[in-house]
Amino acid sequence: MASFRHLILLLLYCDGMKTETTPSPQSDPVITTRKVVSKGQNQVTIEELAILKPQTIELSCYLTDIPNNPPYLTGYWTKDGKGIVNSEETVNRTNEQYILKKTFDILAKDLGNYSCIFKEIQTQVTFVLDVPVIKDKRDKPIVSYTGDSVVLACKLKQTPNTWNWYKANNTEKGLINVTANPLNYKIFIHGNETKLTVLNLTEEDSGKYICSAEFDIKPSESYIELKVLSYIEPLKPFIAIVLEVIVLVTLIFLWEKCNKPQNDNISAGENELCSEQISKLTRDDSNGVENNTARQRKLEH
Amino acid sequence: MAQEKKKGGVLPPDGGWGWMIVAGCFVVTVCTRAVTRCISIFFVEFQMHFARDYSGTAWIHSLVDCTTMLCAPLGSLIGNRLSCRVAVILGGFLSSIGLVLSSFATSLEYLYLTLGVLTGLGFALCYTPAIAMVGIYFCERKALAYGIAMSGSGIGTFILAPVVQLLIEHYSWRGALLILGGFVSNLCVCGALIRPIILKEEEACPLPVDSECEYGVKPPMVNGVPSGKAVGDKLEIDAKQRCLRSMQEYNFLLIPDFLVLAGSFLLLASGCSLPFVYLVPYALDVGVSHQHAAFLMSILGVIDIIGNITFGWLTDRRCLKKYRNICYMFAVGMEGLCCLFIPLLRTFALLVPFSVLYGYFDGAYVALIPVVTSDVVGTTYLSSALGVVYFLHAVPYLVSPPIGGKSLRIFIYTLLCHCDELLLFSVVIST
Repeated sequence: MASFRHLILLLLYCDGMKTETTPSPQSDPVITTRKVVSKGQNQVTIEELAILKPQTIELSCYLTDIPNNPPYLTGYWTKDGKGIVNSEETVNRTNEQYILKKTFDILAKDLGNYSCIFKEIQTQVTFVLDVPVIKDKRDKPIVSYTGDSVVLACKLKQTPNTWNWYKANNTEKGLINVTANPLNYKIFIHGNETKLTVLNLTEEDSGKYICSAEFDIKPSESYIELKVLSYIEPLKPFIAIVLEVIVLVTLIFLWEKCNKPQNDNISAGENELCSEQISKLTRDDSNGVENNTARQRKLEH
Repeated sequence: MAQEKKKGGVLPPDGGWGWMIVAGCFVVTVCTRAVTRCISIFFVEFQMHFARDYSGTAWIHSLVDCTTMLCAPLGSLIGNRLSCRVAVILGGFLSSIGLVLSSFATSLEYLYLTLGVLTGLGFALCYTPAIAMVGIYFCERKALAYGIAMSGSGIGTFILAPVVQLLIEHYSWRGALLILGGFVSNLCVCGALIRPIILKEEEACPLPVDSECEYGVKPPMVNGVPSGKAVGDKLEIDAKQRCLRSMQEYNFLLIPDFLVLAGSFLLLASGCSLPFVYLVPYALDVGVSHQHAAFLMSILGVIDIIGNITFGWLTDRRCLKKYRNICYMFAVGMEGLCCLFIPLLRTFALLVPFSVLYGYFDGAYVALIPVVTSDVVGTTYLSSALGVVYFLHAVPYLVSPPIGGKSLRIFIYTLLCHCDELLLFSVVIST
């Protein structure tokens, strides 16, 4: 059965979050109340709460600005979409507000989405209770090469008790033990982040690696996929490009060599033609102007 | 056409094989400037693998950029001594070896050496000779040719950035660097395209022999036999060549116009890189969202390309050609003016026109740098002059972003640099 270590009253205002700790007069528990204020009807509000340890939470839904201000409303609670038995309550209006509260004992199996629903005005407030989620997950695998080393990292906002790394083989999870394999693995843990260095990579090291942040209530996990390639892979496009460069350079030089004697011949030919034409003109000068002009016209064409 | 094929040199073809040279220079700009910009995509991977932070990896980019510009005079020197073709092929070889070696890196310092120094040196050997050759092959349509050639950096970045990202995803950074090394070896193809050309001797050149870039005066042939005087000249000049060469090559440094131009480039380089570096942080500061800020940079990049080509085409029009210097001043002035209004632009909608205008005129000025330089020093010294010009760009690029600092200060600093540059340039025009 749940042990009441802490009573937490959560007070959430729409404008901001305040955690009040009021020591209960009876014993040690610290109560945090989370309250969400929902204005108007037909509202759906979602609030995410990070739960680190087993605790008792009081969730409160405050409704304001309901049109027609009915004297009372009926509300009930659901967990993960399923109604909680005997949770339906009649809420009376107090100072233009309707307040629905419920206390829940949260253990690992109790994590989920808790909603307070008001049927008449179709208003719903959902509290998402879960361990902190590791964000910025790479959807592409990390690539590395055989013989190289690779660094896999996980980061969280909150600091867990400890971090563990697992390697997934199909459905099995195998804990990575640094003391057993000091040559292959190095784990670095610094508060809210952790890094796993895998050395001397081989093709078998490819696969899914799971980083697990251990909290009192439940571990929070995220996976990173690693792909180990051999050096041949990038070498193929590299050699293709280098071959293309060599072929192009050879072609350009060959073309230049072939054109060069042509160009020289052409220019030499032109010069010869030019000098021929000039000598012809001078020879024909004596023959008369008309012939000259005729030939000139011909030459111009 | 027949009269142009006089033995002893040709006029700039302004077409024909010249367009192949432009294509080659385009690919050179893609392989050098665009690849340099895409190296920053690798930084996240390097930071993960070598467990270092951003400042350690940022050095790589600075090293490549700086080495490329600082060694630009070396590139033009090799282009002059050996030939532009040999310089570009050698550069392509060096830079692809640098990239291939860096794919085997075991530490960040190793990367500084291979990726920073070796690849940067390779790029430097290619960049200046290729740009100089475009100026030699074109006269009438020089600005358009340069516009097309220089647009390579913008178009290259646009295409290469997603390609590099894809390569990293499939082959990780080692494989991606290897394949990039193969891609950069296409610089050798560009080098092969650079056919040496013998230009007609320019009246401006005082000495009879010019041994730069394989173009010079062939001794005049009469009936296939070199005339005696020419042979004698050649021998005499051969003897003095060693001493005179270095003096000849850098004669242009004494031209007062060039000195002023060089000073103005120094100031311009201090200012013009800042908006590129700080536009996104400034936009984020004033409350623009991340996607919108990235979009601003894309606009800047694309409009840069358009500015390259259109401004080049514009300043080639006969009516504007005489006023090319004024067009250049106008482009730089507009850049400075845009920066003046920055403090008033505090929303995304206002920053978009700024990006458009600034990008356009930045592209315009980049395309005109070699044109203006060749107008001042002439084609014979173009290669060496470009080497000096890009060398002067190196140190401000390296130094001014850190000095610039954040927010308002930088844009005032940028504006001042542009204004100073304008003043100096106007001095050039007036002389």
